[in-house]
Amino acid sequence: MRQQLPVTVISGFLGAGKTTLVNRLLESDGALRIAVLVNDFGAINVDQRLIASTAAEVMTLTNGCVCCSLQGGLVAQVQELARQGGFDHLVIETSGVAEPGQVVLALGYPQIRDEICVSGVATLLDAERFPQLTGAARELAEAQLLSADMAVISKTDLAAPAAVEALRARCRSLGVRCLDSSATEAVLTALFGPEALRPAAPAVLVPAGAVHLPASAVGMHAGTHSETPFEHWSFGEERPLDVQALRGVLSSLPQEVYRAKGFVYLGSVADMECLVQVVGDRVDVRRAGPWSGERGTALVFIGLRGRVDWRELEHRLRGSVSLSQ
Amino acid sequence: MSEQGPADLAFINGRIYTVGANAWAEAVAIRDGRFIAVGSSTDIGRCIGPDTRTVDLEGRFAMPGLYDMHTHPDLALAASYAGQFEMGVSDPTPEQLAEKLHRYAHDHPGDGWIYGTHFVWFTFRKQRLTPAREWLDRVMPDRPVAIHDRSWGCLLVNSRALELAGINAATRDPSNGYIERDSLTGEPTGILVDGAYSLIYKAMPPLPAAALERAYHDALHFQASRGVVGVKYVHVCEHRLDALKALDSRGLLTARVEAAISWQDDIFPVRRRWELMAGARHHYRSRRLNANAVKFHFDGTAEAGSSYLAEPWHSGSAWRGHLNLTREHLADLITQMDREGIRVIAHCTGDGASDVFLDAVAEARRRGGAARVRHQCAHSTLLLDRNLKRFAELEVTAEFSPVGWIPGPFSYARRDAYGEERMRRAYNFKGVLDAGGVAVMGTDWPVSQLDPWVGFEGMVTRRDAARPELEAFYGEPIPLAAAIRVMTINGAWSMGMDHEAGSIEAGKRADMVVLDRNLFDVDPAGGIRGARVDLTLVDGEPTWDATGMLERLGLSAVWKDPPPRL
Repeated sequence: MRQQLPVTVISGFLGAGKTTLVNRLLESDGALRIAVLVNDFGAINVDQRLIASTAAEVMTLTNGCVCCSLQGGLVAQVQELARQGGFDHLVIETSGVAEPGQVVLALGYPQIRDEICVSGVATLLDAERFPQLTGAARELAEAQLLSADMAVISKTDLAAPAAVEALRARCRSLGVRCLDSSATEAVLTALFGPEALRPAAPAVLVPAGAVHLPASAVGMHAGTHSETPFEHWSFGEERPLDVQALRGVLSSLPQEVYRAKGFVYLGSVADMECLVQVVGDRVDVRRAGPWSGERGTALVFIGLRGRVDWRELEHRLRGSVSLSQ
Repeated sequence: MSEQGPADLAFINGRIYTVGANAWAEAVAIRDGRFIAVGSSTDIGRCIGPDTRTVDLEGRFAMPGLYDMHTHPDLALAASYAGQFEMGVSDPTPEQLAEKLHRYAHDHPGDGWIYGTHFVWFTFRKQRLTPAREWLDRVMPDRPVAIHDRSWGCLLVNSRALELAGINAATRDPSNGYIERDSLTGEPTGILVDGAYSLIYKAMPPLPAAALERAYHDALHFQASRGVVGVKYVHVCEHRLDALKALDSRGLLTARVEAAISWQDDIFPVRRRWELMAGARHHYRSRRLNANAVKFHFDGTAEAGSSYLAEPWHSGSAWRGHLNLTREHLADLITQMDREGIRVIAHCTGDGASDVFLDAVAEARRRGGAARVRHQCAHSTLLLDRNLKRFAELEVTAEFSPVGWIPGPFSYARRDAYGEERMRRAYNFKGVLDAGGVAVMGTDWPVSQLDPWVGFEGMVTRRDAARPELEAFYGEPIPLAAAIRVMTINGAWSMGMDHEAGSIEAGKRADMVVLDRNLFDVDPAGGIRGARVDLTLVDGEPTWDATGMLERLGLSAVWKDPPPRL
């Protein structure tokens, strides 16, 4: 199977700290070679509600006709980068008035969908300003939050502790996992996996174009890092699983579980190894190719240390064993 | 002057800006729908007989009627007039959507399509639901349903809709969109993106004739009240032509209409396209209506980053945007259309797209068509400097939407997309005119508003009169006299009728508007768009008469009610 390029979309309202997070990622000592695509593909994702002069009729028009299709700069740039290669993970930093869902839809275009894999949408929330937003700005920020697989709360030091806690509670009530942006390593692990913190690999070529890849991003030196707040847990099963049941379990993982990845043996696709990737709420299951070894499921989960009842999760996962077995 | 008898109608004592060889006149005489004399009040006196209706303009300003050379009333209005599904709430919950769908189904019984707007992705997410056909099937299993998303650009359909449209795991994706599929089975999820909408549209019945007719009806009424005498309704199919013909037969086609048949099926399917092109279009032909034009989307837009540019969008990247037709397709198309006498209106936003379009026209000219049709470069947002003179050489119309030049969120977003360097040569209206070419304006409603006076003012000011704090937008403004030509005689030229319309000259069709102000005496900022049209005359007949100027003389305007608020 061809290696798919994981793509993380970073969203958040104007000034919420997207660039700061991206810079921290680029400055980290991790082994991941990351390319960042800053949203400059125009106004496609500028929220219509912020453009008062646009008639409602245009909304339904703009994506149906060939002149206005999303298939444009974004799809082409991602396609170009995926072909170019030389890095492990692509980050798309969207504009502050973008609906990240639109970007995710664009990433589903046939031209690129087999070459990439959307590995999550993270939305930055400004702890101080998010609760104060009103009107269209508020609606948009809420929409950004609800498009997120994970929320990252920024500027917690500027906001009242009670306000921060209220924002966390709001995320939880919406089923959106959240982390504080100040916990950089936790955020990076949750978004990009443990590789983000592993000692660095040698430098890579810098892709050209609208891609920003500061020298620090290529991780020239190995660094030590403190222990993250996460722990790993593995699940294995030899019997085939039922895909619907498995999707059900994976899309309702405990809030304290942030990521999962591995290969699964599905009853409905028995002759193929299938790849599963879970980031926050996003569950991606796809064919990986013919079995190379023994058939079976092997999944690794990452959750907050000491906070996840792994036995309960194991019980639920076993429950997804195909009933026909 | 009066050898053929006295005038039917005369206007005297006016300040009439003719756009003709003599810029100003005092009076005009009209008979059988044409100006028979234009000159001083004394000159015209000789044409006035006992039965001539004579209007004393008392010094009021008059000029030729306006031409809107690119607009879409059907796309703006017909869907809502068709009684399509409308949520009516900004952020409906899934329950609200389901309830409204049930109510709509109850009010529109049968097994027909339910189509309209909208659902909101994140309200589904709030309840940990996925907008997909399974959900919609539970709500409405028996009738085909297709609902647009509010802002992401996708369409949610149920299984019945997929079945009627013949969409399944084996269906290929269109070139400009896709069918979202289950990652394991390949079965459609019920979400269609961008160009995949048209797969559903093909299975749906066309918009009801009454809705299309009412859309054009209301637009014509509004346009008459704003002094419009010539329009291009861009993108039509036979149903739209039927609607226009129905209005024509009722005497309600109060502007000369050139209707451009869609070359692609992306907005709506065009049945019998080739019969129309081959000659069925002449069925609709009248003094006011013709369908001797085609329209296609040649490149994309700034907003989608798909305008086809002469240089890559970004340094270091090869992406130049996208062309929907090959160069060869385009050259063959223009050659063939030239022979048929059909005008080609090509959507070209990027400087690369207009470059290729002009090349194709040049190639068609080289091959030699029977007619030398004046083709039209629509939007012309970015042009290469070296191409400016080719509009005149090749007799191609450069069409612009000047409303986009007025500073505001939409224009700023476009600036951000194209970047500063390109914006400095964007909307090069003046460049085309200075090089001897013909530039026209199109409102492109509903992308902007239908009132042509806003863009008219924008040409002269490039500012937003309502927001004077904003700086003038890119591009050089043009003087009022040049802008008036753009709005009048240039439009007539681009419709191939400048020899008989577009200016106030003896022998030409009697199209004229009387305003409440002399445009040359007002501050253009706000003074142009604020102009009230007191009278619109097409072929010597009043289509709009705000002050009862001709009503008093026993001549009724076609439109009597206040114009619809659009």
